Amino acid sequence: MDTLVNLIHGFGTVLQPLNLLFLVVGLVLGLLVAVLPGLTLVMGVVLALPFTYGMGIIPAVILLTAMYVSGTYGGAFTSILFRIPGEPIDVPLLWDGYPMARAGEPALALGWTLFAAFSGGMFAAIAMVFLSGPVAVIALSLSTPEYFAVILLGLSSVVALGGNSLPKALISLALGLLFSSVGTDPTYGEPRFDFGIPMLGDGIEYLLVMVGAYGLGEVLTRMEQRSTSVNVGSVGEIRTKLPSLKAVAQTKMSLFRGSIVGFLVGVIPGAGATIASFVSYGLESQYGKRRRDLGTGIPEGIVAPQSAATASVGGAMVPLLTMGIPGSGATAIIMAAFMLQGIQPGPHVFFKSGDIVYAVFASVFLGVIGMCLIGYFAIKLLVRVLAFPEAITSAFVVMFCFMGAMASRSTVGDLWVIVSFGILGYLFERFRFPIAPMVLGSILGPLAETSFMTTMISFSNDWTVFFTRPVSGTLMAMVVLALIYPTISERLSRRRQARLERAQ
Amino acid sequence: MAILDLVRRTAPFLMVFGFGVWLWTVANDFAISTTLGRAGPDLWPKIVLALLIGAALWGMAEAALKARPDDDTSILIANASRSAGHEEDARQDLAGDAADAEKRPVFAILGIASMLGYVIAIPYLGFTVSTFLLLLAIMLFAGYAKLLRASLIAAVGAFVFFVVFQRIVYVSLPLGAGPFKEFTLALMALFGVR
Repeated sequence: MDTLVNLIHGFGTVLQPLNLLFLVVGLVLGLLVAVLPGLTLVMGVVLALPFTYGMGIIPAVILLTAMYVSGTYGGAFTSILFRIPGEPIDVPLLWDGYPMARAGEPALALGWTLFAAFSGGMFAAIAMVFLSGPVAVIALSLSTPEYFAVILLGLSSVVALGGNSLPKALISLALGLLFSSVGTDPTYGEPRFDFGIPMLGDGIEYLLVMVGAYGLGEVLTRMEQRSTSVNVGSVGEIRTKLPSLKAVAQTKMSLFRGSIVGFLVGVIPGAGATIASFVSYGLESQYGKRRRDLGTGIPEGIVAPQSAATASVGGAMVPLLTMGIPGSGATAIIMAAFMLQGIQPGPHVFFKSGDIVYAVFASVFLGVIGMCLIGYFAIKLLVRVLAFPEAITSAFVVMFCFMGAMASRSTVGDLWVIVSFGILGYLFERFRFPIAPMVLGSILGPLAETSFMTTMISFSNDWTVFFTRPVSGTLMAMVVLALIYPTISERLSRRRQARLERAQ
Repeated sequence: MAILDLVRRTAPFLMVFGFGVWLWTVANDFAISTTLGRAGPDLWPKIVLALLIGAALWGMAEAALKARPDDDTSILIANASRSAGHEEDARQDLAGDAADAEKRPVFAILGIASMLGYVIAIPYLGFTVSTFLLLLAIMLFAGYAKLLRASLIAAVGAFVFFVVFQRIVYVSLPLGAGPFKEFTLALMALFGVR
């Protein structure tokens, strides 16, 4: 009952004129970044982060959450209409969305996307509200060894799911953790890795790591690829046609599977909307009633990935708000917005600052509704954005990144730091190192170190405590499993594939 | 040729390994260090450095022993697209236009040079002029061929950023030196900024 009352208060907060304005701005920006060439969802949310300095925590988080929600939907338009996935999330969507559009039903394909995004988003929002409380209660009972193990589990699953090369992901994570240890040590006050440079003595702001690696790094990568603009031609005929109730009823199992998978995948740190979308399509191809027709332009091939992608947002909010563990690039940035306001998300904030938490919940609900409305009515405008020259976007992205760097401490010196991380981000992309573990490492590093050192001091430097206590021991075992999972899974999958090929 | 290929594959890991070892020696010089029975400020960085060095060695061994394809797709994505029979589609669609594009690192290097040039020049040229030059340079190096239009966009952009910084974000901007300082001050006077 308390949950519902708090949620109603949350709706009241988000519906206040200024907050509602930020919600709408966030939704529009999220849809735009998902369509605009040269911008990605995470990059868009990163660029918006510096603008939240001057805001209160609630409008700041509403803005970023709205961007996150609508960013999982905006790329669907260009996937279905032009076979151009705005985001990696949209890749499975185009395998059936584009054929349906080519078969003369683009409006219906867009309608199925809208229906799936709405239903998946709503399902996950409800699950998020009712699951967060119990998870927060459990999180509250954790002491420092368990909390350290939880952080380690989050980081290791990001590493395990971040790419195909475990050593590269581990290097990325270790670099992020190292960057966070630059500056004065929190326990002894000892300067570390500052090399006598006063600016480094204050530490490296995770914001600079984030904005530099995601923003500048991506611009440099795109400059190297010399991407060209797209000719979208006439958009006069583009519209959305909602499917009939009878057709909807026939896809209910795909929707249900997609929403559940999306939510669960979202909860796992490191597995965001893209993985949710792929896994859901993969499951549809194995368990769907019309699995043999997948790829020919059937609604199930649209409903499964899109419902999972949007449902993953609600899932990703659970570990962020209840334990302070961001599960994806976008939730890491939302966490950064909290931390910039001096708030460390986690079970204490969940129970003591319910107004903030429930405003976030309400913004997910209203965000899903608003995103569908904007997507329905403004589709022509959104599609036109695809023709915007990428070179101009790139130039302004660079300036927005610099603006973020200068606004944080009002110092030009931070520009050196952000450019350095931009170059590092570019090198990461070039040598195929994942960026997300580094960013999450730089955010969670201080938290991990503090809980590790507190444990060491509290338990007389007995490191075995992490393995001998039941909960932390179990979590540590899960860390090991998470790290060996990719290798085992790849081998099993290849063996299964080989067996199938032999059978054929 | 094979040796060159081996060096190319292992070079990033070798650099990370060297970086890790160097930072380890720096951590050894911290004034307070870990002793038996006391976890010092070097303990956590050294644990992380051990992870970094270990992963670099692992990466080096992996790169030397098998020339694996340059694939950074998550294992879950790879498995799901394989089971759906879209493995190749997924690879191509995820790469997007990058799959077809010929990589030209010179433009990325020019981009880096523009950014570094901006940071070096801003104390001398001031915010507005440097921003104009940076916007113009990035647009041109990113492939925007219309010079006049790019100049106009860069001028308007630099002006808008100036206004945003001065009137909305309230960040004090570098004025520049000599005539550039005069120019920035005149612009600030125009907006009533002291």
